[in-house]
Amino acid sequence: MAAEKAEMDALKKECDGLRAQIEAARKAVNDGSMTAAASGVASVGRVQLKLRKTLKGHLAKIYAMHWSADSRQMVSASQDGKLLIWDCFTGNKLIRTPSGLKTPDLCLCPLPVIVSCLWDLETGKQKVIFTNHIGDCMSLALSPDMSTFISGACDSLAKLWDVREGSCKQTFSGHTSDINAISFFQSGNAIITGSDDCQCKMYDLRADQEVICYQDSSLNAGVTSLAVSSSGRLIFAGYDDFNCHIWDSLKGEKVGVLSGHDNRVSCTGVPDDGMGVCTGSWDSFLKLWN
Amino acid sequence: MSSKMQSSSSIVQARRTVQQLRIEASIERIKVSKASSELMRYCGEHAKNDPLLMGIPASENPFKDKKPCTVL
Repeated sequence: MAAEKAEMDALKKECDGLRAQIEAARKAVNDGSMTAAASGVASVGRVQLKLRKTLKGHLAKIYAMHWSADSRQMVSASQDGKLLIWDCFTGNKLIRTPSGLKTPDLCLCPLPVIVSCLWDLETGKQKVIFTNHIGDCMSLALSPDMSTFISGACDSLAKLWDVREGSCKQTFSGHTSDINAISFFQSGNAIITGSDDCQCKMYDLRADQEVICYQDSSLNAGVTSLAVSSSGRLIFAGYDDFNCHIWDSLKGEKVGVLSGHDNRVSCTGVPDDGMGVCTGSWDSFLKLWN
Repeated sequence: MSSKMQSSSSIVQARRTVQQLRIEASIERIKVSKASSELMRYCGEHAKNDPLLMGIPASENPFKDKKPCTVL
């Protein structure tokens, strides 16, 4: 018993030491803020996007949507138990099985438990189980080169994982509540998170720390979802206040808003060609804007 | 018996945490100034191809409802 206690004390001491070491290393490279660096960049001005289509068809809250690689079709999921596939050019629902869509052959699925699983869609088997978060894992995103993925959880942490090794490489803290949304910046070198603490943050992977926080004292609603425009300059963040707010990713300023839903925005997505943004809501509608 | 198992699993957990922290502590980090300038450069290089930044002419907008043509 005494030996175990001694080992436990030693391990705890080593943990504390390592955590301090990580904080010191992060501080050592923190030689200037992103907002200061971006002060010389031209402003994007007010971003005013128009509502182009409202897609009606679901009978209950929408909780997820995903663009097809063709930037034309889109799938939405609702509490009504249906997956609907839409042709966003015409606004029509497609009567076609999901296998007609191009999908990646590996699909990440966040489970409402402390793990996320990597599924092989062809065999239907779980390939790897990633265990590390101590709270429900609420959001996932695959890196542009597909070698890593990021997860955001109810323990307020974001983690970077190696897909093949199944190991956690980095952990990012700073949020004070559940992370509901997470996305890679297109270059693959940064990630963006959205949380119930009403903030979005960008973390740079190579500097291993938060580089900018997107917050506004007038915004008191949690972030449910986010998507990034094709250049990375605009962040579309869906909130519990029924709106999708648009942020300048470099300057950290709010530059626009997509208003029109009658309930919380639950999902947001920009297609690969960057031609618009789709918002899905608990009001059962999806809206297309550009 | 059960408290012995409990303390063993705490030790196992603590060892795993130390292992994980060692991995995270050992990575190489770049300066925030370098990271910021590369993010800014990426945005700058891709801005002109970002339809949501540049705007989309009505004739090329795939989501805009097309008005039906009338033959006069």
